[in-house]
Amino acid sequence: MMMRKPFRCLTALLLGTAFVAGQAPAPAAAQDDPIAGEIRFSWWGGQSRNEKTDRILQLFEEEYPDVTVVRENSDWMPHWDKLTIQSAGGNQPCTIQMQTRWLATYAKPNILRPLDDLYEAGKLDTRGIAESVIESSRGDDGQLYMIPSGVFFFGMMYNRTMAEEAGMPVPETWTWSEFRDYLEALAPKLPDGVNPTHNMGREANTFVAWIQSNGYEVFDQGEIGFPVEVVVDWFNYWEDMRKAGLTDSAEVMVADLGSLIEESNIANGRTFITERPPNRLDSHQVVLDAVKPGQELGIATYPTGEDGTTGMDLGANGIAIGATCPEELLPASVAWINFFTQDDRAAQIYESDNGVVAIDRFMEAQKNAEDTSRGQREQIEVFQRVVPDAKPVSWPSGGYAALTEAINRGYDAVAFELMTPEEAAEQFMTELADMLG
Amino acid sequence: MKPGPGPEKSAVTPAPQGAAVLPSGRAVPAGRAGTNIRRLENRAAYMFLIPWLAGLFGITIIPVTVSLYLSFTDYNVLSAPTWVGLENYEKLISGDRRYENSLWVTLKFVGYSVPLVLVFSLTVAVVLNRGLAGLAIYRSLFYVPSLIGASVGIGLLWYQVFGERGVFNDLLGLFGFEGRSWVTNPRYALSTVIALNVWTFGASMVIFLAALRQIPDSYYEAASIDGANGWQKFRRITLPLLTPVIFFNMVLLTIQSFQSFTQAFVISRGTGGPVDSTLLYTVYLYQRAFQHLEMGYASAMAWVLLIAIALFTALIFWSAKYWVFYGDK
Amino acid sequence: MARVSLQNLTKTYAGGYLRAVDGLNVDIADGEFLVLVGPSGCGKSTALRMIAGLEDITDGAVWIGDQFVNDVHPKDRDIAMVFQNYALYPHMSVFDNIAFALQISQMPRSEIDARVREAARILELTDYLKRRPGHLSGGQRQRVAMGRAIVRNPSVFLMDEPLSNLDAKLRVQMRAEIHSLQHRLGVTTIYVTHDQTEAMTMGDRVALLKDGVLQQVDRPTDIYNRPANTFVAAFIGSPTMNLYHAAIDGGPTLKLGSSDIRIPQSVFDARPGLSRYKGKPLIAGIRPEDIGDAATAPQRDPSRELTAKVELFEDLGSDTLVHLGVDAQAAEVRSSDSLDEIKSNDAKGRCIARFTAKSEVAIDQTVTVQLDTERLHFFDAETGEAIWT
Repeated sequence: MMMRKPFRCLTALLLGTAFVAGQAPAPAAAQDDPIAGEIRFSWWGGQSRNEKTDRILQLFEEEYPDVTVVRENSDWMPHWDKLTIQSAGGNQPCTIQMQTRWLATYAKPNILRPLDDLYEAGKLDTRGIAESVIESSRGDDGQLYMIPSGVFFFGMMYNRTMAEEAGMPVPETWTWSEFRDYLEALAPKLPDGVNPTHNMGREANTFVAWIQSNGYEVFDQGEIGFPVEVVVDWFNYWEDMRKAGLTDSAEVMVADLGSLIEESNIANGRTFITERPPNRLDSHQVVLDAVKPGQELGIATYPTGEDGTTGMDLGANGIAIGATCPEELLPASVAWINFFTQDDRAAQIYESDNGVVAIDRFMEAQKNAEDTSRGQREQIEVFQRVVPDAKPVSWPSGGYAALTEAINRGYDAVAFELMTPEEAAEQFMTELADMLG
Repeated sequence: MKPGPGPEKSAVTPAPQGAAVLPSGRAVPAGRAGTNIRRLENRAAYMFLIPWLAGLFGITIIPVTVSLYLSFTDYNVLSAPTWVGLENYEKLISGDRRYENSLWVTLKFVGYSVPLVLVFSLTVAVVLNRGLAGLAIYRSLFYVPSLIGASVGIGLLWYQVFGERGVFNDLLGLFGFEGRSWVTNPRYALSTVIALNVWTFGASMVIFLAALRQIPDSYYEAASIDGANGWQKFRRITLPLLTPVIFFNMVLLTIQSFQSFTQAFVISRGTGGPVDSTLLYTVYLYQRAFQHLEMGYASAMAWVLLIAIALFTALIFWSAKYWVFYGDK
Repeated sequence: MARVSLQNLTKTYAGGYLRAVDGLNVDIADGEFLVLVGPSGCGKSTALRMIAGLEDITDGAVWIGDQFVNDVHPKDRDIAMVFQNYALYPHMSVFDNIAFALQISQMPRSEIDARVREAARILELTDYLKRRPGHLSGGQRQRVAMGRAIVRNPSVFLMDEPLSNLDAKLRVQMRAEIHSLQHRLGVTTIYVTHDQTEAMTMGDRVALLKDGVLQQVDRPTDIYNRPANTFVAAFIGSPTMNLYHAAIDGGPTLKLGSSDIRIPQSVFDARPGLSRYKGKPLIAGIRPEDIGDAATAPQRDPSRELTAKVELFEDLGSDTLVHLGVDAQAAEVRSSDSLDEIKSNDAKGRCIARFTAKSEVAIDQTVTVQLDTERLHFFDAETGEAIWT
């Protein structure tokens, strides 16, 4: 299995976004074919992102009156299930939201349309996007498969109000043991019925941080890059906290993972800290405002290893074109991608909802704009702080899905006391290797 | 029926004697003319059958045959299938831990569902058969769940109702019991799925009701005079006379339960969890096929399921001669 | 003691609008074979079911022996019932069917065995004990139903049209069997049927019901020879009695249509009340066997003869039933079962006579018939009641 271009270029270049002069070709003056027809666009997201996307789509349809866009939105996991099934039937939409973690699986010419020809001809507008980000959007075969619009990182979301009321502000960095000590001290000061932390033992993203902060790679040339002891320690870490009553119960842990934002414990003020994508801060804050007015959510970074080794994956979201999109609908699809990525108004509406906006001029503008929401501003600030130490994972085809599945099953078995951590860890390693092979 | 005009005088072939009547009722002259008309009628018949035949082949026979072929291949949808012989089947038998688990889960599911549905539907049918006022309303009410029970919507509803903050726990609270999340706990999740399956007992109940109506009242009157109480009447008259219908329902329910998918899938959010506690055979099949893109392996699973269902059904049929009483004509 | 006493037995539906059984009063002696007979819908089955306890009693009382059984459960009334469709359990053997009641009562196995075999012996079912009802003939099934009844040694047998499902020949045969069986066992029996032949041949007494009301309860000969009203007269006897609107004038003459028939004094003597009807309309009746072919009569007597045209005749071999058109107005008897209601109301009446085999008739032939005036029946034209005193 070929490895995709490493992400290391990405981080260095993003540091100097204000000075990047991405010399991407300017968009062509006129299109040859008419921009018309009905195209489908599928994306994932919660309520507020759906609304934002819809508003942008409306603007787009006003700008190009001969184009209608059929909206196909869904939740996170169903989006990929749907794409798989649609691809099997050759029924995938013309424009598809894509992510670098999943690119390896779908970056094949019979699923997604390689975009090099459109990119070279200047039909796709990629001004302001760092070269490394473009590179990360290539598949194993080196072809370009998506146009990135947002770069995302991972972290934890916590209830700042509760921390302040307890007189224990969350530090900028902490080690895993400091994290645990913090929670132990905080627990008695939390309101009744509030869990100190969501049990992240089954969360793939947090597990990635653990692996990396212990000095290992998640995947190395398509093989597992860490030993079984890392898994055993991980399970034990969370088991200690669970048994000490610092986490939610096993049942709640399972339910909370797959829940909608509106039902999640963090957005309803029932948990102090949990694993959530930082770009979703606003979506969660909206719900919290309705349920517990006055409480504020914030972004916390993952704990580091005892020696300070950080761990955090990095990825990009973008839009790809389906392989089965007919020739006559290509202009409309290209126009949509360009509009979504480059239009000022689109960027303003979207406000880095799905990852910090990749376009440099937008990122700065948003950070400094007055009407930028608190959540997005915080996201951009934290992003700029952590991005130097980020360690993007090179995900093999199906790798992220396999890791998620294996860690879910593995830790669940431990949390429900059906297996010891050692047994579960062994099984985890076997299953993961099996799924990759 | 008009008799035919007699054999045609043909110099070449001796025509068959006598008149004939086609299935359509049309009288047909013997000989050449008759054969032509017969041919025309046959052709018309086939023409009318074509839509159904097309469906039978296109949607059933051909895909099933293709899946048999695929079960001997490695096929990930995105590239062409490669032949691997019996490898998929070997892996099923010896090397797949989750597969074995799904077998147990499915057997448990079927083993609890079928008897529970039979008992519930028969009990309610007997109660309703006493002729309460508003029988038609109750019958419809009990039947409705079976219409909507296999739907995604009801699955989602069930997930909510039996979740930690669901209505079911509120109900338990009224009686002073502590609630818990019934759907995300591996010890109880399967029971919740079974409960949903049993909730749809209405279809079987309606069939039992109809069968109960067939039993003449005079049997029960004679039994009353003979001194039998309600339970004795049920055990010695109702039950034996219902055995054909019980058998019918049992076969139907068994096949249905083995194929059950939606409820477990929706309640476990596609994972078959937690910890594979609701991983029915069909859910695991779905995962291997559509999430892991292993169509060949999944096809092998599908064929094993087909054979298993056939075996179970044959078993029930064989057992029938020991306990099913059919009325002698 | 197993007398059965029905006192004012009543069954109503729909709040009293529908009276299925209306004030039925009958006392049945111990060991008696009483037949409840009448057209369909007359309430006989309902009455039987009330006696059995399968229907609630709206009003009145049922006594079995010394016990007032209105509210007693059927199983405690010491009765056994034979249903019209036999109600044999198709999934049980003949043995089990007969033994069912005994098994329910938890009698010891050996005793059950003995009793069942005894019943089977009496009914000649011993060879069929292992068979299922489905493999038996109609007559055998009927006997199994009887077996189920007799094995319980009840005080009363109740039989609800047990022979209706059999073909004619079998019915005749089973009639005799049931009759003789009842004689042998001496059990009080209440037997319901719509067939008046069965009623007449089997019953010690016959109780005729119409629309829930008892018309007459009497021995068969009495019901036949002294019917209490026109309904009884018409119902009992086959072919049915010929009934006409007629009048009696001063001389002892019966004006029957255009014919005058002389009534002998013995008739007036036997029916004192008849003299009150001089000059008043009444209904006269005469049974077919009392109308003969004048040509073959031992003695001619014009005073009791009239002419008629042969419309149809049925040659039975032993007799010939001749349907004649007479010039007399037929009296109709309303009954839910009879065809009289559909008959058209023409002045010309019908008459059925039973000629002996010696007569020779042809259609459209005009014959002279001779009436046996001693055997004339008279009924009030309005109430239909028989005229006696």
